[in-house]
Amino acid sequence: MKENNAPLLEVVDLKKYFYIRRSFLARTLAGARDQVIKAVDGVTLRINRGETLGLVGESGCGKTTLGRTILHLHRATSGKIVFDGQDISNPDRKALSQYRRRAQIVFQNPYASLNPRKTVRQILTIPLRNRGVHDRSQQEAEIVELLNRVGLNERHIDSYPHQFSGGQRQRIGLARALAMHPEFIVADEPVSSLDVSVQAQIINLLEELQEEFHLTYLFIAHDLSVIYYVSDRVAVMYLGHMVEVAPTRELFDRPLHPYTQALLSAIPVVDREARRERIILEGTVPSPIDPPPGCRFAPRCPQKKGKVCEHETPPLRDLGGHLVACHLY
Amino acid sequence: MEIKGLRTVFPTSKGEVVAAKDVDLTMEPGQIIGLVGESGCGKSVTMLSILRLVPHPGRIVSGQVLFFGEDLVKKSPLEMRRIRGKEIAMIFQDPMTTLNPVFKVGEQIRESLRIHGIMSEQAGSWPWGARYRLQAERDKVIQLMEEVGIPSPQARYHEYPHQFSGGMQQRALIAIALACEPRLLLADEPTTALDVTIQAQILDLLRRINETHGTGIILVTHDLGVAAEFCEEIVVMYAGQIVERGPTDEVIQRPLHPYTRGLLRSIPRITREKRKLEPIPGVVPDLANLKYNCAFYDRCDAALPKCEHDELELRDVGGGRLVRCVLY
Repeated sequence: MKENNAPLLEVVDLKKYFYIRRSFLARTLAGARDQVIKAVDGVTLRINRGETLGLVGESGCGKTTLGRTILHLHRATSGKIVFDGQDISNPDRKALSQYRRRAQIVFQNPYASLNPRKTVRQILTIPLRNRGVHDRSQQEAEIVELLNRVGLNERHIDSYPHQFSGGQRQRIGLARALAMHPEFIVADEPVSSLDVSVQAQIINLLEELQEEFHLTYLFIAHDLSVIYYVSDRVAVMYLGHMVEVAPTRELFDRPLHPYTQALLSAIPVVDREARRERIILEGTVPSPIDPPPGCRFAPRCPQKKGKVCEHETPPLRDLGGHLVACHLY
Repeated sequence: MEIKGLRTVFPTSKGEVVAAKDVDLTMEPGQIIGLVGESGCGKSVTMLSILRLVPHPGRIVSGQVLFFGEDLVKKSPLEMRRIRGKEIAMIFQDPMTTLNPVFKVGEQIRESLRIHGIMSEQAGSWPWGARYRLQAERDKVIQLMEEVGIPSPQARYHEYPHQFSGGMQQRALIAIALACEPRLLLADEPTTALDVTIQAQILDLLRRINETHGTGIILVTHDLGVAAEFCEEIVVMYAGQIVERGPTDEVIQRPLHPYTRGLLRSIPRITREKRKLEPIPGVVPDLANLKYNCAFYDRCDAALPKCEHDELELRDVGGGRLVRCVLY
């Protein structure tokens, strides 16, 4: 991977809170209080040009929210997003539309992310128009080229999404993202709903496209084998916090955070020699509503040091390219 | 248990779909078998056929399911009801839709004890025994909940399914399945809806159950990793047929059938050197319209001209391994 010194995307102390407002009646009669879900709670992240950053974590840890907040699909509660040297934390309309031209998303569920009442042609025309391609014949030519590029046939151009299989739909989703000629793509669990043989096709396609168009990916997944395969660096999230960021090989060889260690040990692997001693965590991920103070992982941590873990949130410290947020280091 | 030539079909407008085609499977008591394959390959239908729960209009047209010498296919509906849950229990993929949202979890676990009358012998007969029976059943439920690792079972008994997390719901389902100490447990993708750390907890629990009670387990999964770690033997299914069977390590390290090989090559693995993924070309064939005798023929990288018509059977190639392919 080529590395350019200036990162393509930088996220500083990004927060996204969701508020659950209770009605007046519920508050006065039932004593319910407004609640805050801290889905993303102070995440700092850097993505270099041309790399694939894998983002892992269990369901509810905020990885999807982070991906969407970066793309301004959610408005950030606070924090800074810098894309290619430009601060786009509070963009005006023009800046936002320009940003979206360069940063795209591929969604998890290929069944829900395509409008069932539109044909492939209609779905792909919208991004083309946004890019300023208005000429009909040129649109058609580009659509055909896109379809061929993602491994579909041009006779599919007037078909509806329901006529395609899951893998083919994910290819349409990819074509839609590519139509904008983006530099950065957030791939939110692009393969988790697909069967293994189809999954391999889509992963290979994503890698080919990355090389061809010099794309940068934020690859969100919960499947660690997939993450290991596609990523240059891996970021691990737990309950809205970033707990560890490291180059892929380094993270899998020498995981530092106790959560990462447990997570890696829990993956069922095919190869006997790749198996680790299993660390079985007690309990489940606590709710992001009123999360535990201090280190978020402290209540389940097998290596808890003591009081400090329960009271102080560990900062993300840099240990020579291997970032970890834990009081042990 | 022994399944012989089981064939389950679903009539459709396009013709009959053979969802399970001549499935042969033998299993020793206390064994753990993994049934793997992609969606639509007939894994779940095979499980449902064992319990005779194939949804209408599907039906079993031929074959035998011998369970400790008795043929389940010939049993009357009433006899089947006595077997389901008591001798053979099943855990489904999605715990939230399996549990009834309007009953307390504890009562749902107690239901299977009550229906199969597990506690009636100890408690004596009605009317004097009724109250004792209820108490005995409740105690047993709490003991079961403790066994499957549900914390504070006394309080949890009176909670409803929505108050449980996904992992806890799956534990409750396992408690229901274990209530009557079945001899065989059919687990249909029990961990697919769960996170990896919770998945590890549940698989650990299932293994403990297998060791302490000697319950045989058939684990249906699409995750080769899960099957490789958890099962003693692996059975690979493709398009309604068993294509390969053998001891886990053998199948993983020396897969014989081209489909198994393709599957293993298409999954990303955590190994030292990065190897490009090789997807299996093409798509799963339409089961209503199988063109070739070998369903894998048009996707196979080792296909021979004779594959198109030659008769195929699950052949024993030694070392406890069976494979359905003309190459062997």
